[in-house]
Parts: sequence; structure tokens; C-alpha cells
Amino acid sequence: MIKIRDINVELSKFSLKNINLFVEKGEFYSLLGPTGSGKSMLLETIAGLKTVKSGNVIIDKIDKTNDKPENRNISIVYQDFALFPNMTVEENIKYGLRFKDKDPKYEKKYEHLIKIFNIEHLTDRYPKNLSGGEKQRTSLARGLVVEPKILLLDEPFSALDNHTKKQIMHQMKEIHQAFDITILMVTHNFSEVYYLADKVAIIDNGEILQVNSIDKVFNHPVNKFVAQFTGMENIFNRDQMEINLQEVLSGESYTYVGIRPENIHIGDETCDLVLEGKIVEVYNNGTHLEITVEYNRMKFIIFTINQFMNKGLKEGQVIQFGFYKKDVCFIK
Amino acid sequence: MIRKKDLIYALSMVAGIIIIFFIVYPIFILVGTTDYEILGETIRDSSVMDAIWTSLSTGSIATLISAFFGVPLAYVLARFDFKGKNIVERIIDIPLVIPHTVVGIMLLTMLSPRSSVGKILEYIGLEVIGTKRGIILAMMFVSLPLMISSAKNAFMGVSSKMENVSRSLGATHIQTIKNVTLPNAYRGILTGMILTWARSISEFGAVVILAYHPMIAPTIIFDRFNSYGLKYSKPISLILILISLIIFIVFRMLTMKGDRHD
Repeated sequence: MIKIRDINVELSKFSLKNINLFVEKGEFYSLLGPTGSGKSMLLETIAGLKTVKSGNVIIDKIDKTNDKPENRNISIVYQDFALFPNMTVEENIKYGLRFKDKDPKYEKKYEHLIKIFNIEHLTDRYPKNLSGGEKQRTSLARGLVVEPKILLLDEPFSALDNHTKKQIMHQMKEIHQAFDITILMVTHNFSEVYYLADKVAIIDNGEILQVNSIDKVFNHPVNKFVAQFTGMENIFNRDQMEINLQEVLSGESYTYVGIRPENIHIGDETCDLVLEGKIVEVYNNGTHLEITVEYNRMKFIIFTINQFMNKGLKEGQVIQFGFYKKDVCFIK
Repeated sequence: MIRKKDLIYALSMVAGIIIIFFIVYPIFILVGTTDYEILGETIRDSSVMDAIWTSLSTGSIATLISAFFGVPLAYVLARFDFKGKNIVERIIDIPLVIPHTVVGIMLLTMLSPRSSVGKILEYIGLEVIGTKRGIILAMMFVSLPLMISSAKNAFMGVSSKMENVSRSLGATHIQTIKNVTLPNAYRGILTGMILTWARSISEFGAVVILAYHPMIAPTIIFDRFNSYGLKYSKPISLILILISLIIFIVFRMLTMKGDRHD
């Protein structure tokens, strides 16, 4: 469906280097990377909004590298919505239809979309009179009404509050399934990727570092950066690890080991390795506790749900904690 | 903290009052000290009315030409990065720092029949020095930076992401500029046109060197002041102020239209 082959794009201070991606038809694909990693630039390159230095953008087996954006049938939705302030919600959504053949199917699609996104009552309003969620729903409807082959989402949930974000993410999931559309979303938030995407590519400094299914990338990161960026809070250099730990993890070839904070268990003696350490910090973020435990100069971060508060975990307390060898990630 | 904020507020207010007084008081003085009998004679004086009309018409033409050339350039400067962009921007600002009489001397030298440009103009029969064309050129030279910088700021205020979305939805670049960019930037462009127009009709130094005749309003005011003194130059000044203010207010109201959108 989308084939990005050896793409190089150069701006004055930044470049995309030899990007290769393959997105299947109907897939929900995510590009995950930190701010300034080049993920939005790649999205705009696919949309035809950036000039390619070398390489090809192939869509449905047709080389679109030099096609203008208006000839690609790819819609783009931005984090800040980019609604046209001089147009009402209806005019915004129907904007793309000005450039399409007159076909009653688009009117039906419009009616369908404003219903799905629950913005039927807002069609006469101007963007300044909409909430963030309403703006993003309008923006999504505008991108979908033209029946694009591909929908590009540039950090679509970053400007939304948590409740609205969850609602729209749920709607996006439904729309993806109902419309059978190919979606490529860029984000820096791996929980959005976990919920929505089928496949993920990790990008940093203009380069793709790893491409795979969500589980593969999250559980088998190819390097320390990917591990850290996908929420692997406990990463230890082999040489700095205590001998006891090295023995348990022997037989593997690695430079670092990583353990997800949610895979470390407090007071579970059935773990493959049980350690004893002192709590140095307890951070309550409302839904779970983030506990930092010191063990022989190594600091382990453990996520545990709030009910443990009742057990009175507090700084200075010595606790037993452990993990299973199957949950340990070996990073080369 | 509140006391400190109040002190800053009070100081700002005092500064504001001084500035407002500095601008408004001379106008009141002019209105209050003008001899209204002479004002009546001035209104009936066709040479004065001709000069005011020349000012308004040449100023308007200079504004339209400045917008025609300046707005596209402003768009390019707002949207694209290219080698030498900084140099282009500095060159555009040059007229702001050159004394206007010097502008007049420069243009006169460039357009005189002895210069290559002057020879070409003479060859095609286009007279500039001492004509309305010369007045328009002088006005454009001094006011173009205002047009370009206002339009550039207006374009920069329209997110390029909006243009990207428009293109991705099927609009060509030209359709995008027509449907999205200009409707959202027009107030800034109109403000630039007002500033350009205001700067043009108030221009004296460059115009007087390039074209003393046909006279524009500032030239005839200077002429009357030199020949007959303050008493006879004040009524023309008053008429020019009134006309300028009326046009200025109308244009300002136009730029305020469309507030319902944002």
C-alpha cells in the first residue's frame, strides 16, 4: 500500500536518512519517536509536502514521489487541528469536496461522519467556538469525508485532555475498522500506539531504528534508546550488574538488560530472582505507585497499583522484590 | 507584588497620557487657531483642491502598485527559506533608514535623462521627473517596506499547516491561497495598505525633489508657508487632516470586519 524506499529528505538543519517503510493496506501503523526525531517530516514527505532528495514514495504500486499533494488522495490531520478560521464546521468538513466530482455519496458520507463524531449540532459554528475535542473531531471528519486512500495523523491526541483523548481514540479505532482505511499516525506517546496501532516504527534523529509488531518492539527493543523510549525504565549495563544477577542471566549475549517496571513484583517469592532492597522514593501518580528501590547501587523502578498503599509502602522501608527471567529483555 | 504592579500600571498610564497628548494636542491647536474665513477661500481655491486630489490619487495608485508587487514577495518571505533571504529582507528595509530627501536625490539621479534608466525612459517616451509618475515612484520607494512587512506578518499568522491540509484535500497551491491564506490574512494586508497609503500621502522630502510640480498637498502647504506664512498654510493642513482621518477610519473599520471568525 505505502512503500517508502530509501527516502532522503534534507532541510537546512535536519535530514531524513534512508527511510524504508512498508505499510499494508488497511493497517494502523504508527511512527513513534521523540520531539524533533523527524516523524512529522516523514509524514509530510508521504503527503507530498516536502521535497524528496532521493528515494521513492510508492502508493498502490504507483510511484508518487513527484506528484503534487493534491493528486495523492492522502488526508493529513494535525495536532493543532489546522481548521480554517474563516469557515464554519460544515464548510471546513466539506472543503475537500469542492475539488471532487459532484457525487451524492459524499453528502451521505458527510452526514455519516458528523453523526459518528457527534458534531451534528455544531455545523454552523466557527472553529473559535469549539472545544479542543470538537475541533479534533471536525478535523478528522474533514480528512475522512474525501475518502482518502491513506489518513495521516500527526500527534492527533496531544492537545486533548485525557477524557476527550480516550473518547476520540476509541472513535478512531471504530472508524479504522468500519472504513477499512490505511492510517499512519505519528506520536511520542507509546500508550496511544499500544491502544491503536498494529505495527510500529521507532524513529530518532531522522533514522528508523526498529520496525515490527507492537509486542515485538516493546518486548524486544533493538537498542537502549528504543528500550527507554518504549517505557523500559530499568536498564542495566552488564558490567555494572551485580555478580548474582549476571549468573541468573547467564547464557545470553547482551550488553544491557531491561526489565519493565510493571514486570517487577513486590513480595512474590515465586519469582526466578528475588532481591531485597530499600525504598528510596515513592511517587503516587493517582492510579499507581512508582517505587524506586535501591539494591547494591542499582536502582529499580517498580510500578504497582494503588492498593499497595494500604500495605504502607514508604521511603526507607526494606522490601523483597523480584522478577521472572522470561520478562527480562536482553539488549545488544 | 500588587503594589508593584499598580506602580507599573500607573507609570504606563502616565506615559500613555503624555503620548496621546503629544499626538492630539497639535491637531487641536491647528483646529483652534485656523482662520475659518481663509479656510473658506482655500476650499474654493482650485489649486489647493487639485493638490489634495493629486496627493490622494497618487497615494492610492502607489499603494495599489506596492500591494501588487509587495504581497507576493511577502508571501514568499513568509513561507519559504532560500539562500540570501536575510539579504533580501535587509534590502527591503533600506528605504526606512534613508533620509527622504536623499531618496529624492537618488531617484532623480537614476531617472535623469543622462542616466541609462533615464535614457531608456526617454526613448520609450515615458516622462517621470516632474510628473505624477515621479510622485508615485517616490511614494512607493518610501512606503514599500511597510506594505511588505505587514503582509509578511499577516501571512506568518496563517499556519502553513492549514495550507498543507488544504493541499492534501485536493486544492492546488493557487486555490489554497485564494480559499485559505488570503481570507485569513486579508486584515493584515489591508493594514499594510493603510500604512502604505498614509505614508505615501504624507511624503514630502522625496517628492519635492523629484516633482515639485504637479503639487501634492504637502508641497502646496510648504509653498504657502514659504510664500504667505503660517496663517495661509494652516487651512490646507486642516483639510488634509480631515480627509485623511475620514479615509483612515473607513479603512480601519474594514479591517475590523470579520471578527466573528476569530
